[in-house]
Amino acid sequence: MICVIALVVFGILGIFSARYRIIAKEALDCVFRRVTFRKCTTGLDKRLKAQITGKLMAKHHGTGRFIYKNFEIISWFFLLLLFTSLFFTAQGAYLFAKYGNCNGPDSTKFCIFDPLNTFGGGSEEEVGAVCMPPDAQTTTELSFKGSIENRPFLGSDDAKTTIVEFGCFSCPNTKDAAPEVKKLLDEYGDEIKFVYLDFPLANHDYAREAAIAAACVWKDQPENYWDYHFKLFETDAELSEELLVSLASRTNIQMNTFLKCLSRNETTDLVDEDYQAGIKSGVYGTPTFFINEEPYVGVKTFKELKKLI
Amino acid sequence: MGINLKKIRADFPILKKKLIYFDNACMTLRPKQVVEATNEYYYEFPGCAGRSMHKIAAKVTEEVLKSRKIVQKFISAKKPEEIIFTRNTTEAINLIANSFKFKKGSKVLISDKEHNSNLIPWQVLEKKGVIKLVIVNSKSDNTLDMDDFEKKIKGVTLVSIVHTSNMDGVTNPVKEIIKLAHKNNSLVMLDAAQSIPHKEVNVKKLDVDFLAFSGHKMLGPSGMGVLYGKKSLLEKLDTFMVGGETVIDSNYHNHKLEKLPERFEAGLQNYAGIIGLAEAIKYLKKVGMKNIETQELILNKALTEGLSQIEGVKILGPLDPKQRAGIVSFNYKNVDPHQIALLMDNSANIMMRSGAHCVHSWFNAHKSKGSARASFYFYNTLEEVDAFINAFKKIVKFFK
Repeated sequence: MICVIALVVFGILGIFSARYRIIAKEALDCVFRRVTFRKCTTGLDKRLKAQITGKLMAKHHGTGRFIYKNFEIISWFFLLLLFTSLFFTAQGAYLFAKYGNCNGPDSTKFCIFDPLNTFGGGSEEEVGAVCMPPDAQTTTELSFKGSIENRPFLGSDDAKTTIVEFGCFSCPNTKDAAPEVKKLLDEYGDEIKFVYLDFPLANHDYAREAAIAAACVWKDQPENYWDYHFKLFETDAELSEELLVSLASRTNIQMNTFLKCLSRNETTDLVDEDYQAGIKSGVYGTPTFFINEEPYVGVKTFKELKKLI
Repeated sequence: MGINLKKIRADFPILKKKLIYFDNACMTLRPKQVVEATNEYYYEFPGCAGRSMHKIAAKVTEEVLKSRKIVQKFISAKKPEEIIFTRNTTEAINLIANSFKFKKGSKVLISDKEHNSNLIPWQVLEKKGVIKLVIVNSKSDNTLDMDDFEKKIKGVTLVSIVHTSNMDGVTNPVKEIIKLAHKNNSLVMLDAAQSIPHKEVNVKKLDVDFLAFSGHKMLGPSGMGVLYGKKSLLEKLDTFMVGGETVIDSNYHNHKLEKLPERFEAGLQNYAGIIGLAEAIKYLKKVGMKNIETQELILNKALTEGLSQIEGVKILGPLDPKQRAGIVSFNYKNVDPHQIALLMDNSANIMMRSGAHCVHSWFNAHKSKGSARASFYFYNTLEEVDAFINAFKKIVKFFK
């Protein structure tokens, strides 16, 4: 029986190292001979038995002797264990491929194939990469409490799926999530409604200024908002007052109106409203998504977002 | 004069590891002097002998000549040209089997305990119809049945027999064998692979016609062997392998053979091996062949005594260690000898041999799977023998 175990174990190890392929070949020969009612001639079974029991004997004679005497029974036991384990591994892999969670579509248990739950299966409590202020208190009790009325959105107003993102223009993780969101919008179009709410983090430079600037565009020239929004995320330069203006000038924004809004801080209330809505909803970092009110904290890839919809 | 084991063991770097090496009948360990000598060839004068004219080639030619003389003196051959370098004992025996001018139906006599090296070449010739193979039996204690030998020697062209058996360590009475063979006008070749490394062998005193041995069983590099032959007999042999260095001159349809020994050393030789073998012989001479024999006997006595106390152990060959050189071949009840060797290795780091030891014919005839074999060399110690016995006693409990 040890040859069957060796065939499986060294067959798997042989994928990674040629050294184990030789043993796997010996094991295959041995198994083939055994199933055709012949003796194993490679001596692999004897070698493995002696290696295992000999080494155990050097540590503890009694254990070595026990295993030597009951080697065949113990081999059978491990063989059953191996096949059981292989069965559950295969089942887990299948479920993971199909549902993104190896425990099944509705499970919230830990999945070994996806320890960080990056595929979003399982519990919404699993957190992706997220920007947080140093004093932030994380919570699992997130529940959207705010208004999306008159807030920037893409897609259809009466779509079945509403995604609300709390984001910060200076947060690298919100920045990472932006192209994924863009891909999602490209694919789903009017099938979803995507709303962006500002949650500028105090520890990020020019986060609040950028949110105020974007809100100015939304307030006065909403047709140019998303262009400016994605430009803020796409830039490789660090945000500054000059950059906020410079990026606006690269769009169709009427600069006089924009600069007037900025100089008068006309949209600070809008930004504060969003921020407070985030606080009330339990948001502690960015990006935080509420997909049909189900919270998901941290960066989500296009694939993950697709699975979550 | 005894041997300084501590000093000797320091020459074998591998012995610093915690292992016990009792597989010397298969291959011995090498002292650093031998390794350094072979390295010196590769580092200092890695040229070819007997061909090129430059300084490096001249140095190799000189070293090969010196090495041949060292081998010649070691076995007390008359002339250096009686020493032919081969890859191993097997090749040396094959050289004789393939170049000896047998008349159709000539008889070749061997014992029933021959290593495959001294069995298969003759079987091949027998199958081709060139010779008839005659096999002399052993007695129940595994010593050669000399009565059977006397009966079968008549009409034999060549006796090709093992000197000391690698299977059980029994040394055949070769002096008597050679005397009887010569009396019957038969020539004698000895497979001396297990005797030359362990005792003094004097080919002149023995009056043996051909003798073969290997370097790797006597501290030498692997891939090195020797065929000794009386000059007059070597000159009568056909060629074996031919090509570079075996001829003085050639044209498109003919060639003129080289003199001895070059005519039997085709192609570029293993110069590092030749030089290493000579260094190994120097080392053995320094230790003293008598001392080696004595040390092995001490070890054999201790192991024989230890194993004899374990119920179920059956030693192959005579119980008297004096008759078994440095070899203790044994079986324990019906336990597979491979299991014994593997468990000794894995539980106590003791290296030993198991199986048929390339003497399948004897084990098959005796319906046995083989044996476990411990074989010593002079660097082994009594402490190692004690450790072997203790480890084996523990293993024995596995099978109860």
